[in-house]
Amino acid sequence: MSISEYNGSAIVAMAGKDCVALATDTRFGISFKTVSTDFDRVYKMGPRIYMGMAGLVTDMYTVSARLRFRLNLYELRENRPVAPRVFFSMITNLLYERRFGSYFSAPVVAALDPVNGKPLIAAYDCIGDLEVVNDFFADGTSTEQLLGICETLWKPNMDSEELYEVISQCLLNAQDSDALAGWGAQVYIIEKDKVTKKTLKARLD
Amino acid sequence: MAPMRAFQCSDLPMNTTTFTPDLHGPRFDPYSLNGGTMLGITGADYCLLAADTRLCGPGYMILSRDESRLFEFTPQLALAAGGGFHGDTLTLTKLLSARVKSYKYDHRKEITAASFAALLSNMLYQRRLFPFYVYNLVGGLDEEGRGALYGYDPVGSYQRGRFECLGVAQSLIDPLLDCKVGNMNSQHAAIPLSGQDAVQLARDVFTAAAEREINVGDSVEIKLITATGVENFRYNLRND
Repeated sequence: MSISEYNGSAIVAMAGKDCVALATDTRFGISFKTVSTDFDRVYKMGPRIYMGMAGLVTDMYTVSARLRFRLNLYELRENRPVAPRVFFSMITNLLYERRFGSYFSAPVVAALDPVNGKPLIAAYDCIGDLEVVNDFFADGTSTEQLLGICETLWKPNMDSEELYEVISQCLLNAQDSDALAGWGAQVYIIEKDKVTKKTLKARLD
Repeated sequence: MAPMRAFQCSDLPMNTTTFTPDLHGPRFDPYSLNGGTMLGITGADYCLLAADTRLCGPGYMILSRDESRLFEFTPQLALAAGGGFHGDTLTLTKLLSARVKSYKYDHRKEITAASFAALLSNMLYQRRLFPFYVYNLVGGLDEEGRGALYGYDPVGSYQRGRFECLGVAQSLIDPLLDCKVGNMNSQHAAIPLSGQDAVQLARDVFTAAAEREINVGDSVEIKLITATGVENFRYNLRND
């Protein structure tokens, strides 16, 4: 298995009408051994900015910590929460600094634009290529499984309840086909007035 | 500035020969990857087989947009074969046609799905040390008229199942089938799929796979096997 499959992960972000959802599995493994079954991969980086990280866990810790450092300094200097698109560029810059010796972890960011409330999903590769997508994005060891089912079940302008159902079905069924991801799921539904976190019951293998 | 000329496949920066050098020197690779994705769904009185029709070549080439991967053997029995080397698909189906004809002459009846399934398994395992690089799905009706589907690996291990997907887009399609046909991770009771519903589901599934998998596209061919015979459907997919 390659280095980005060493720990296993499944992450998907989906856009709805004025809402966005981010869902991840909760397995942490070392190769085929499962070490933790309630592992949190999501970081809150702003009032409506949530970042999930796929790939090698040690790099997930490092990247998120370094990003938190830069974010904190930004917010101290500017005296306001960071805007999503600025934060997206921050991530790109941090990852590209390691262009020829990259981190093996890539973020998936789900955010709401504070100005117009529209969903924003930022997708990256491990060296910082930023693509802002308007439907869905999947990362981790279950990428192919997630892409297949998301492509069929997603439709534009879903409200938050339907978005929650669709993203949950996509993640649960995709991670069931992947040995390295699973053991539970967490879904964050981000709306203008609230953020809801739900934990799903999944196959425990 | 150089004048424009037509694109040549030799422009592709790929080694398109099948010789791959290693410690033993250049070796001939007897297989080539020709793509292909197959899907099978069964119901109480039908079996559906679907396959895309794009034949891929080495180096992102498309060799044909219209190469069938579905083969009929009797009015209630068909085979979807692909996902590997197309040369082996053609040879295997040629041999199977001959064996099915032989069976009919020897036993004075058409071969049943279960017998054909066992026959295919044995034929594949006979080539255990130089396999047919083909992923197979046998679809038909069993003795009681219920849909029967058997899924294989290239060396003949097989199992009867309610639904199955094989080929290059298998990892994309499997979770979707688990959700929609297998009713997994669902709090609601299962709604049985009729034959026509299954055809539309297969069409949607291939449309989604064609979006995200480069080797899937052009069109999808579907065979719906019922007691009255085989009904054929064909739908276009993305050409890119």
